[in-house]
Amino acid sequence: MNNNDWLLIPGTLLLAFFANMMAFPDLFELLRLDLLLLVVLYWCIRAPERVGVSVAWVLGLLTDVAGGGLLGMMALIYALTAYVCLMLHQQVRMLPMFQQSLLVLVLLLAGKLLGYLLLVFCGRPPSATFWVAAVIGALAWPLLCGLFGQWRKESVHLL
Amino acid sequence: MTTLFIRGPAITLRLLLLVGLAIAALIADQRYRALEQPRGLILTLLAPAQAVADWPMSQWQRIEALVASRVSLIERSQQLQAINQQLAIQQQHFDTLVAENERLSTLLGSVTVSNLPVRYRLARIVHVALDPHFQQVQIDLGRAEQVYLGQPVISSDGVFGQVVHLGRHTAQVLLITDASHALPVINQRSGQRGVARGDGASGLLRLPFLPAHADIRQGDLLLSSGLGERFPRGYPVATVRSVVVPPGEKFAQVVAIPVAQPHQIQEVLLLWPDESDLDVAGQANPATSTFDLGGTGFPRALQLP
Repeated sequence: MNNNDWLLIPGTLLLAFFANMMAFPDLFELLRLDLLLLVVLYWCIRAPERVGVSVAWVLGLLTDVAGGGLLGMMALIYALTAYVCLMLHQQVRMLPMFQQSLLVLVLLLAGKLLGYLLLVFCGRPPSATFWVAAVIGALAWPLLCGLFGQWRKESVHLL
Repeated sequence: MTTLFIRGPAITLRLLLLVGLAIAALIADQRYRALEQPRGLILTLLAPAQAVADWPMSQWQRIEALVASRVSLIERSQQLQAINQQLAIQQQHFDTLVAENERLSTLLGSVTVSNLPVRYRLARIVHVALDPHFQQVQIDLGRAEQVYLGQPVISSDGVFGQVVHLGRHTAQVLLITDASHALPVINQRSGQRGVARGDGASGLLRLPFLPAHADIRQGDLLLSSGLGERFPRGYPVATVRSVVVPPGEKFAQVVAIPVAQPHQIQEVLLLWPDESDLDVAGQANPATSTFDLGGTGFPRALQLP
């Protein structure tokens, strides 16, 4: 538990929430990663006593309402992926960055799969580019860890 | 304070509770539209954050407008003047026609049914990221401005969508091209009626259940027919792109392109239709089932005359 976490946690969550809410030109829409989910997962691993399934669920629900989508879809995905990170947080911290990224990729894809099933069930099958965001999210994971680690003044072992 | 072991069973229990809640919310919202109140409340709370998120893009547009060259502005102004003159001439025609129509109706002793809404209001489209699996936009007017759920929204080109979620000063508008949307239309040329269903991400409309011999051709203009009692009648909806009758099929496959293209639109018009007019439309065809906004029960059982 770092000293400046009480500021960093709400600050980064809020920033990520804003970033998710901002509209970009259609060109970049494909590259849009779920920054909020990444930040939630990061804190579930790094500060599991502060950020857990409840915080993830509430943020997911806010995302649902703000986006006008299926109410509860993101809440479900956020809570479930956050739970896995919470349960594994000690092991994940020990993993090298590459394996962490792989784990994040699997989690994001699992979340996407759940979203895919729900959307198909509601008669809105997503396009093929739906899955791209998960890969981009996993690629962004080391960057996020490096940046946040610097803010928290902790040493991060890339690779 | 470092906790080595976070309490596993308690967290699992909490997760199960939250998952249950989320699933309940999904069903209540999608199946029964029962959560519009809490949705509106959260949307209201999120409004300041959304205003901040909207700021960069709207400023960007303002800057684009500012740096537009003098020449292009003069050109634009001339174009607008030309259009304005055309519209003024059309308006004169229109006034004459209205007067003549009223006179003829009185001669025939029939009731005049005017389909002009009483009130319009311009709303700006807010630039926030919305769920890409829904065809929708957010606007900057809400419950406080007397916007209501299911309110028709049009653009300067034609029918645009309807209000589905309502905050205090914000509202989310579902486009007519959304997969859950359906709109009763009438062919301007032949009077053939049909239902225009949204096709989702393709941005097109489809007209199912039209018999193979229906009088509909490529290029026909489809107008709102007013039968759903949600949209006022007579507004342009789409032009027919293709009509295909596969051999042996009883129904034609009709695809239409909506006249209002959401990507080019920055402002939309909210309509407050004339209540009495809607009543007349309802009486004229009592067989029409009233539309309810329910997502799944939306247009499935509409009976075509």
